[in-house]
Amino acid sequence: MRQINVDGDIVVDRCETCHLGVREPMTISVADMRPVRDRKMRKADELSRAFVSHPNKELLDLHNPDRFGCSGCHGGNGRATTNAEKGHGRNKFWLHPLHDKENTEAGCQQCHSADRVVQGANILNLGKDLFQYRGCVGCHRSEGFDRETDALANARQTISQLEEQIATNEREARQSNERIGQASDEEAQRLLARAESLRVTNSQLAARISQLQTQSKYLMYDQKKVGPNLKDVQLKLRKDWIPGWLRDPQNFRPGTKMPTFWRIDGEGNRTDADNQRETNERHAIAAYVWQSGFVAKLPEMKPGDATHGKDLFETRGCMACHSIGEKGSEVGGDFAANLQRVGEKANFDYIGRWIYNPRARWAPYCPKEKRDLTREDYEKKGLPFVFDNDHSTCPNDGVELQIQNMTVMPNFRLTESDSRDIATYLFSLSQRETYADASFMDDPNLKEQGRLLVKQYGCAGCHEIQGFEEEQRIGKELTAEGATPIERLDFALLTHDAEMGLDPFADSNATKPEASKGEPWYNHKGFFTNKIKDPSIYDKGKEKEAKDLLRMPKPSLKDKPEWNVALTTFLLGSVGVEGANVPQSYFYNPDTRRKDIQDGWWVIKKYNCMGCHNVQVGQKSVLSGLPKYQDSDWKDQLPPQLTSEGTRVDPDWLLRFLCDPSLSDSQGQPDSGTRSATTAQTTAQSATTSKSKDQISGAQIENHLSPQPGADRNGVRTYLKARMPTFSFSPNELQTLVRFFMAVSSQSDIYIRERQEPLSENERVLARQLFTSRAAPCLKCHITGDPQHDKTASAPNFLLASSRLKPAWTVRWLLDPQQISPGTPMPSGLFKRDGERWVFSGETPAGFNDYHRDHTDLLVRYMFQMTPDEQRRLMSTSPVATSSEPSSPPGKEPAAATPNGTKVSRARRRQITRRHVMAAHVKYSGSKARAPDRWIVGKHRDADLTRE
Amino acid sequence: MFSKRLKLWICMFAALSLLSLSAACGKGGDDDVAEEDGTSSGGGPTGTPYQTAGNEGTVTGKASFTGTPPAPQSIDMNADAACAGKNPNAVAETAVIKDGKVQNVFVYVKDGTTSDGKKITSFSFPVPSEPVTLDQNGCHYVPHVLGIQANQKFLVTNSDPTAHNVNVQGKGNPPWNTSQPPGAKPIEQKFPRAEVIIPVKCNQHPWMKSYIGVMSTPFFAVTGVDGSFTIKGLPPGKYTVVALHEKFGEKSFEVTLTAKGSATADFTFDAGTASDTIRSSSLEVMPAIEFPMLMRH
Repeated sequence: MRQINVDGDIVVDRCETCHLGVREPMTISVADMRPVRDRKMRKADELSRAFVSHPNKELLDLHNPDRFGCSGCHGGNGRATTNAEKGHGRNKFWLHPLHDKENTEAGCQQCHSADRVVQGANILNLGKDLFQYRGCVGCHRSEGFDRETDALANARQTISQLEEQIATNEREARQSNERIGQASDEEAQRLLARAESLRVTNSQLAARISQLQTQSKYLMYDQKKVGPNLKDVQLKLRKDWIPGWLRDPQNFRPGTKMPTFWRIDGEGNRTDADNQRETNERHAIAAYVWQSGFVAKLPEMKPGDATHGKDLFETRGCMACHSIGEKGSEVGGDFAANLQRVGEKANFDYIGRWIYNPRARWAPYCPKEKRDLTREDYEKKGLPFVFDNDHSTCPNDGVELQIQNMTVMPNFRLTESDSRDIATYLFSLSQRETYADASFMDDPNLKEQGRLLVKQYGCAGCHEIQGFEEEQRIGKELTAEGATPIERLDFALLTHDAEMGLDPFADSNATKPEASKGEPWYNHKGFFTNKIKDPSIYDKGKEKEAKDLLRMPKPSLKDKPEWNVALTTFLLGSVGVEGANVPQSYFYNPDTRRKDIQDGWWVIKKYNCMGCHNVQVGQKSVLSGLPKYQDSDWKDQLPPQLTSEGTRVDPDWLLRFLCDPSLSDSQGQPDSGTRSATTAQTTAQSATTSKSKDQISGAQIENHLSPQPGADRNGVRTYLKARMPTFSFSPNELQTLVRFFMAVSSQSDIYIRERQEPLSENERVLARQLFTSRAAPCLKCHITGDPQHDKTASAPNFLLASSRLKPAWTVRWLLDPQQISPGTPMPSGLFKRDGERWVFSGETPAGFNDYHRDHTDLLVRYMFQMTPDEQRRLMSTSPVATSSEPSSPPGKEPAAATPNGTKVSRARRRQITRRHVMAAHVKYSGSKARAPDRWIVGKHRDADLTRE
Repeated sequence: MFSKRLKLWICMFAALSLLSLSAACGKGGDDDVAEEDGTSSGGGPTGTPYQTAGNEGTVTGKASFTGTPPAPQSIDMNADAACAGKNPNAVAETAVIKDGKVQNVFVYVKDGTTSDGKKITSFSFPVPSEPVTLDQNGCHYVPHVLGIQANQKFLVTNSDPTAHNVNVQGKGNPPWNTSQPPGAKPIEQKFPRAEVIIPVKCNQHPWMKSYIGVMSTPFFAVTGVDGSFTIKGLPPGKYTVVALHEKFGEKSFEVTLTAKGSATADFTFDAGTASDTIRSSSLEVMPAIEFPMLMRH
């Protein structure tokens, strides 16, 4: 008998009594169990599976069985040894039966429920992805997912409680004051003290409220919906298309995350009355959504160039999330919608505008008045109808407004004509069909019925819908669903079938019912699997009122069984604290650095950063898998790998970059990418028609698209066609991301930039000579600011180095870039060892004969002390770029480099002292509540710069 | 014996995925991997050494082109004076067609069975001791397409008065990218694994391209100026021969070779096949993230 006893017998496992090979250091497989002689003839027997070694030794190293036992992760009855069934806990009296092999990773979830990504648990990770991306989270709460919505609700509730408290305190203070007149001296003193203390308390409460309000502002930035904003339907969609979509979204767009709410599959078998009821319900829902949204007509956009649009769509990075193509020939990412048929359903003007800036909201929403504001609300207060980051409070009551669309789609800072071209391309992919007339959607009598149905089906879980902004999730909380006692899972009339192992999806009229007999499924796994397949089976055979039918729609899982397995695994493992096989003290409870990583993954996953970037070693981005990027030239066009981003960049710089990836805000004003929906000026290239305003009465009119901050450029890699978009992260998320990247690269100590040894005049000359020598390739690829030269550049500008990079990393990068970022265009072997120092491996200019210091150090210092002047000087002596092409006249800086270059160098000088403060701030502002200060400090700092 | 090999493969596979080589991850690469496994399985040092029987034959052929060949594209080398000086009037070698014959087609025996019923890929062949050299001359790679056996010595030389970087973008083989300043000694490398086809480029001179076919057998050739190729020493049998051109794509055909015989395999490209070649097929949807558990946070 082999037994593991853990911590005072919390876990007693005798699994190894049978599973003898589990901890063998060598790999033992079933194949190794075959009899020694005559191997070809004889197979290993059934039982040999029991003796294999654990398939993942690394996992076993991390989770030593002496500390965790076996049943801790796998489930089962560790004490039982009489037979396999008992040992595995495969009976209804044992609460933690052994997980099936395909669901093994459910065991990870018990302790790693706070991890969005669990290394090595790919099925579980997929389950979590699906739970979030396929929209389960719209109806079901699960701890950690969509946390912004909960946090926002909490913050608002706390604010209203505090406000109440303040009012009570004020009343009490007033009463105290009133009673002073009649009170004795002693009593009067007491009352005075009391009133004073209440007033002081109130001022503290007010401070707390203002903090909470800032928090809710950020949370409103970060709060996202799974589906599109349905207030926009009149602006966005073809009316006639809506009923068909509502009936069967999969038919129009196979694989869409919009689930099927109707029991269409059984339509043939059901009474006409049932079918008619569903049709009526759809009509009512469509009518409510149609009538409750914004009413307006968008300014027209002229069609653009579809060929150019196609090029942009394929290269800007759209396909990291979106796919194109149909019926098995889809190409692109699966994070967002397939856009093959978007032209059939949507209004061109809306899509063009959306591509230009998806975050631009039509009208701001006031959570206090619970309605969308109109132009009149602003005009009444004498304010322009402008809502953005700097104008985010309600003109009526001062609360923070929802100023952007709640979509994760970022702003690509496209020009208006590029947006138009992309829209034109998308619209060229499909032909418009004619649909049945849908004028019933204007029937006011249907509206109220529709409202009730929208509520019943929980549409607002995924969509923003007028009147349902504060609607709660309608589904069951699933945080501890896996621990629900089996008798409380509603198998309805299928309990018997489940126990008998009858397939609930088998045709009930089949002649041989025994053919559908399989394993009994009266267990958690069986319940979840079938529920996810088709929730309506648990209504089977029941007589119910329509409104009592199960509301859960049939999830869209593309008929992929592995998706069902992944979701089931996730649910089986979601057991909460009470339901876990191990005590809470065993749960993964990371230290600060690991916590930063844990928190970061939620944001990384939320915005699909991995669509474009390698965030971790071994992970491939979606883009890198696309046919286009298999070409060796396009490979160099892939967005940078971020596996060692934390060692590469200065955290302060990273924060600024994530805030504004165009690095174009010469004022340093962090821009969220949300802009006013309308302003007075009109731009020359505006593509709008001059429809008279009275024709579009009562609505907000946008005559043009407001200017794009940092339009049409990347901040660092200007040569990339793919563009790092502006995500409008809130300060909370910015901080989480920066910390994540630092922590992943083990850079969690405060980063304080070392003062660099200044270059001597001789060193400067030497470095310049080396840079321009024919042996050195630097200037062939790196951006220099000379537009002629930069046309073929494929690496960042040296002027960015000082603010962006860490010198220690830069040295390592120069020595062996392939080690840091395999596949990078930057070659290795530029330097060779010479005793204690590294020297340039090519021929060096004569002056180097007397230079005995390290060449990498020299070059790094030169780069970090690069100024625009020095760069121009470099270019004028370089044989590389200026030999054949006339470069821009010295003294007059080429346009591309000017804003960037001057800003950076000036910024660096100015920031050196501040940087220390800032870095410390990043690190020690432990709680999220500190974030507001940081945001503000950032603004001030940048304001200083502009004053300079 | 069999289980031993199986185990070896499992180990290799585990090692690969651990090293997080591209092969182990992502759906997109899977097809390639399977294909390479096909070509190389048993072909490495584990295969049965091939014994010359004396009845080997020869496959010859010509690569032709029908239709109007694409016009040669000149290269603007102004970005580097050293290149422009040495190699004025350079043209791209993407499609070199003379008198209707296509140069730079990589032709190789992909698969097949010898007349005594053995898979040609199950044999191992001696690795030639002489190296294969790729020269950088006039900011061009010479040759433009080359074949090499796995584990054969591979040299890269720089005959130019300017610096190059040799960026070898293998998928099954470890990729590398090394700087080579003028006058530097040759870079010496080898490819441990069969792979068709590995692109080589210089990032400093983006027009510089070369392609390397790494084979486990010696049965490959590159078409010459007259579009002809010769594959010698092939045992009698039935084979699948594949011709691959960087622009015109892939042609595959069956060849039957008798003892001491010779077979002819002519093939024709046309502008219609001029599409994006050397590509993987389809998309990656919601990638399952295969994290090797190397990064222990």
